[in-house]
Amino acid sequence: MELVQMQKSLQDYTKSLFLDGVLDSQFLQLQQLQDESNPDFVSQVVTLFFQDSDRILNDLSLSLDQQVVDFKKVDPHVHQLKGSSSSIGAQRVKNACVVFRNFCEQQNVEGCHRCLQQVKKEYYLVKNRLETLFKLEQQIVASGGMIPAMELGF
Amino acid sequence: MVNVRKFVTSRPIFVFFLLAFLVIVFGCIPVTIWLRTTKNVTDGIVFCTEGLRSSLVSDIENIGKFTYQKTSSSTTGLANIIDSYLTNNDTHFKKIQTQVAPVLFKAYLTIPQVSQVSYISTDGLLFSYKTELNASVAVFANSSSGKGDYTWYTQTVDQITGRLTGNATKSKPVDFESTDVTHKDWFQAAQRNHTTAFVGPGLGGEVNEAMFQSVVSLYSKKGAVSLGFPVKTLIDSLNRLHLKGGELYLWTKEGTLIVPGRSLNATFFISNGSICFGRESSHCIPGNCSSRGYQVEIGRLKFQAFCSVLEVSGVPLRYTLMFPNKERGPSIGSASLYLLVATMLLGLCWPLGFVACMVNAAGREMHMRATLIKQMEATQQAERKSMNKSQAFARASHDIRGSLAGITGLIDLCHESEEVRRGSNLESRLKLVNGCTKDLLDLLNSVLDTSKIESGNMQLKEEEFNLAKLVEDVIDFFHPVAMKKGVDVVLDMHDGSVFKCSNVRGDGGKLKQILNNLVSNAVKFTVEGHISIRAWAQRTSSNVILAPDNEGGLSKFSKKSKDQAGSMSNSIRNNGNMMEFVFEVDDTGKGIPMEMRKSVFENYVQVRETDQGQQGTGLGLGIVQSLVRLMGGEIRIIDKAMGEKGTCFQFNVLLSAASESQVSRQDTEEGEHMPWAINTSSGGSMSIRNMSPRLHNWLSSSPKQERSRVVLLMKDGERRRVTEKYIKSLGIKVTVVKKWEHLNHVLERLGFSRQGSMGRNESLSSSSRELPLIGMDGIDSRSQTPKRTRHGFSPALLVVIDAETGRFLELYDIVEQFRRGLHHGHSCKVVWLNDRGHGSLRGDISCSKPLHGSCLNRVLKMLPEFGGTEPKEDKQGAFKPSEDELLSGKRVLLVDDDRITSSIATIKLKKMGASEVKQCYNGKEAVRLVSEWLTQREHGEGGSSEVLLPLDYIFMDCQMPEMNGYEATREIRKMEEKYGGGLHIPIIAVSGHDHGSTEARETIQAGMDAFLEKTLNHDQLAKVIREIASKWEYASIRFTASWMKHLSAFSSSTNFRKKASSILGRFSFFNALTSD
Repeated sequence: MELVQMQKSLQDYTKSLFLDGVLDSQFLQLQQLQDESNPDFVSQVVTLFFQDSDRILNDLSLSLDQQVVDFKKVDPHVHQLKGSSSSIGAQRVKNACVVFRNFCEQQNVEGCHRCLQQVKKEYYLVKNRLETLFKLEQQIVASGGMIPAMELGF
Repeated sequence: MVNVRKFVTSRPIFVFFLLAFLVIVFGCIPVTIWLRTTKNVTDGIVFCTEGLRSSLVSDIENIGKFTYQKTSSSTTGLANIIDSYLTNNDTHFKKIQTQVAPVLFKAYLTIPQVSQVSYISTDGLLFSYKTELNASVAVFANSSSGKGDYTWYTQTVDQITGRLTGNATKSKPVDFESTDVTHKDWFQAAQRNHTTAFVGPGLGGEVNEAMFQSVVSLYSKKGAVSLGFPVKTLIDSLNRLHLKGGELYLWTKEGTLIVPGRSLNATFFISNGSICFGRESSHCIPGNCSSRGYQVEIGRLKFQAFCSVLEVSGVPLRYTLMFPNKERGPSIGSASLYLLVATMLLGLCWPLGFVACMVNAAGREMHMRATLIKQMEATQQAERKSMNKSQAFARASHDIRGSLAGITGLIDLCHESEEVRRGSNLESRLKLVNGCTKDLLDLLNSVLDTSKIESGNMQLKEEEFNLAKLVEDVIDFFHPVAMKKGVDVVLDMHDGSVFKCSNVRGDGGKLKQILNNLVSNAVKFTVEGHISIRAWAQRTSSNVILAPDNEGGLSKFSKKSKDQAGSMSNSIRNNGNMMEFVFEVDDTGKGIPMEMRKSVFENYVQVRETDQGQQGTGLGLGIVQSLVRLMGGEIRIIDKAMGEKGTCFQFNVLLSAASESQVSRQDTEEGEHMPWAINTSSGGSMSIRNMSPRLHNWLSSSPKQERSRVVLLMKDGERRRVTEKYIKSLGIKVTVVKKWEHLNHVLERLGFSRQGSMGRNESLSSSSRELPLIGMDGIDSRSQTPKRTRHGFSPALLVVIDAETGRFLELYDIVEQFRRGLHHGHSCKVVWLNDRGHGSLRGDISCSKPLHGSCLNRVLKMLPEFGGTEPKEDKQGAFKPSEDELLSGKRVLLVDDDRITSSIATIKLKKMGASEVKQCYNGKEAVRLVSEWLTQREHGEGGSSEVLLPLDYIFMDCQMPEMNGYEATREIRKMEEKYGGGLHIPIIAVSGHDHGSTEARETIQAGMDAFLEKTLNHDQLAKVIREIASKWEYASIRFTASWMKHLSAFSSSTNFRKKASSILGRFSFFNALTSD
């Protein structure tokens, strides 16, 4: 009984993530790619994403705090973050990155700072949510249940 | 002009005064001249009138002077004579009568003009002679009493002697107051002054007319002598004067008027020596008025009066000459004044008006400019907005397409997964979802195309494709849809010219899009009838001639192609290989009303009346038009003949024909598209390069040669007509059967059957007798028929039957019966057109596709004229690699700096069957890896698997640190060149950008083979890999083969030789496949 409830709450939670726009279909694709040969594929990729993003955000903060901001250094970082976030399906991070890049092109330090904050905010949001999601999944797995497949037609 | 206007508008007041000044100056000059002239004229007139007046005055004075000249001297002389006669003091009347009277009478006679001669003694006695009524009388006064009392007598006289004759009659005295003349003033004045003169009546007598009297007293103081002259004489002479409109008044000092004016009847009196008119003294002319003239106004008339004194026989007379003052006076002076004032006014008003006009005009212009500027700003803003919108579209499209790709990908995944069972509801729904997604994608693409065209980003690809196949594909795609509605879609190859040069270079995708759009529209709007698609080719010349019947479109087109900055058009012109292809899509739908025809090509426009709940954005035709223009052509709606329904779109495009070698190779590959000779209806055979030699012989040798015959039994009229025309154009006889019931009859009459051949058709039967016939079972006829002509084949009968025209079994019976009754040696082949695949059981051919294009060609190929080959059964979908096999056994290098993307892609590629996915994280690494492989392969003869290409594909991210994808690709390509011989590792760019973006183009420029979006969509990947495979397989195998040969020549290892030979075998097989 409890398991079913857990599964349902996981489903609801995942749905809410999509409805909030935190994640997009790319994440679903990731889940679809996960199979017997790669049982922990999603969590691996997401962990990679967290590692990379932490590093990138750190670098970005450093570069932007410089006296003279070198946009040639900033831009690839943002690009990379955009790429990885879009691969993972972290839609809102990706969108923030798009705006960020525009400011980079305009060499707008003020805007970049603001965007960095925005990106960080979105990143921590998605990180938080995904960690919760994984925790839920782990709980289900620990109690011997199956992780329900996402419905496509939400 | 503009400067002047500006100047005027800036300082209107200054200009106003300037203009006023100018006008006054220029106006004053003529006025001054005119004034001077008039002054001269006035002066002249004044001078003239002055002269006239003075001459008049002198005339009057002359008259006065000369009328009674020397009167006083005559009187004085007379007085002296009488004085001498009166010596003594006693003056008695008798004495006077005797002594003085004869003297008086002599004087009376001698002195000219005198009318009275008198002697008056101091004591009052008087004797005088006087002219009275043309007779002379004597008047005398005698005093009987001596003193004071006188009696006056008048007595006639003898005219010669002067003696008194007849009786003396008493007469009146001079006046009634006194009979004594001595009391008179004048007598006393004469006594005092010796002489005096006056005007007065005559002395005594019956008639006393006024006279000038000159009186001289004697020295002896005894009396006085008086001479009287008539005033009338003077008046007469004065009256004779021509006064030129003037009036003359003459009066004495005492106020007696002598000469009155003629016309002035006004009351007139003389007071104080001045002459007055009317009752008021204001109209008086003073007597001493000088000759300068005096203005006087009488009544309404103005006069100028001149006064003077005239002395006539010593009597001073005053006269006044008056001239009416008409033309002179204020008229001239005031006229010039008026003129001047008018000039001034004009000078002020005209520039005022001018300035007002200018200011008004300037104001209007300013207003208009302001409006224009506003409008332009609005336009610019609108343009900017539109641009932004387009850009936003393009940007949004990227994301939307990503999501759509996601959805399709997910659906694909669902299909793959085992949870979805085949045939389940879920699967069918998934299919529906897939269809919806595709529709959505189409819609999105059409919107995108529009925005791309709008922003001018649309680029044409240059790729080789088979035009005939493309057209046929389009029609085959729509055929089932249309057939569901009962509408037939017919491909009309016209004269087959498209087949001649079906291999062309150009943008096949876009052309397909155009055709798809037009045909789908036609299908959408046609409820009954048919849709025919016609296509033909023609050579382009510098002046493109489209078709003889559409000059309008022609001029438009040729102009367009000149204008179109298009490098394309220019290259087309320069390229001799350019062909023009004309397409017509003709339907029998509702048609487009005349007035909508122009706007139908505009974006977002749909024809209301035909809309009927049809969906669509209305973008289709707009895109089509843009695409057609992009390809150097023009699209328009052709007028149909009266009474025909529907719409006919015609468009033409320019495509370059592929080079000869490619064509020939492709032809052999394609096989089914027959590059045939076309025998024109006029009988002349067009020389076509790819004509089959047999056919050529046959066509050119003998017209008497029996030809094969095709019997067509088809339901749809249009298709029947088109097919018949096409087959006829190939030089094959065609018999058309309209109803299945007639089939039997027609077949019998053809002359192929045993019983009905004789005498039916001379040429048919004779030739069929002449020619030994081949067996119907496909046995080589040449061995059996020794009498065969050198042309080597016999005619055959091909029966094409649409199975839906009648009941299949009955039809089949008829055919079977006919076949049994055939002459031995005649071949009869039957083609069934149906979906169900009957007939193939009995050795007949069944054709499920619509009979046109390649299908028709395949069928016709069964005729001996075209080789007599049996068509292969349709093997559609024979080679359709399943998705798992797509990359089966392939080794892939994945270059991406993003670990996450990289790991996802790895999984995906592995799922697609890749045997090995190697990852590296930047371009440099990739280059290093490739170079390692290449060197390893050259040196090491080791693993045989390494002998072929080290890698099958490289998936290259574009933007990477250290070395980006473009650079890496260039490096790799450079390395490959060093090895030569056509080594080419396919590199597929993977990027977050979408197709058609500049980045995508850059990748191709950098030497990459294809472009994929990051989502790694299955279908896209499959398409790309197939393209690459077809393009490079041949090259790579050839390269490997040459490499093999090279190696095996030096290698002693038998093992290696064995492997090499097996690979070489593969190569030769491939070679045989691809090159003919």
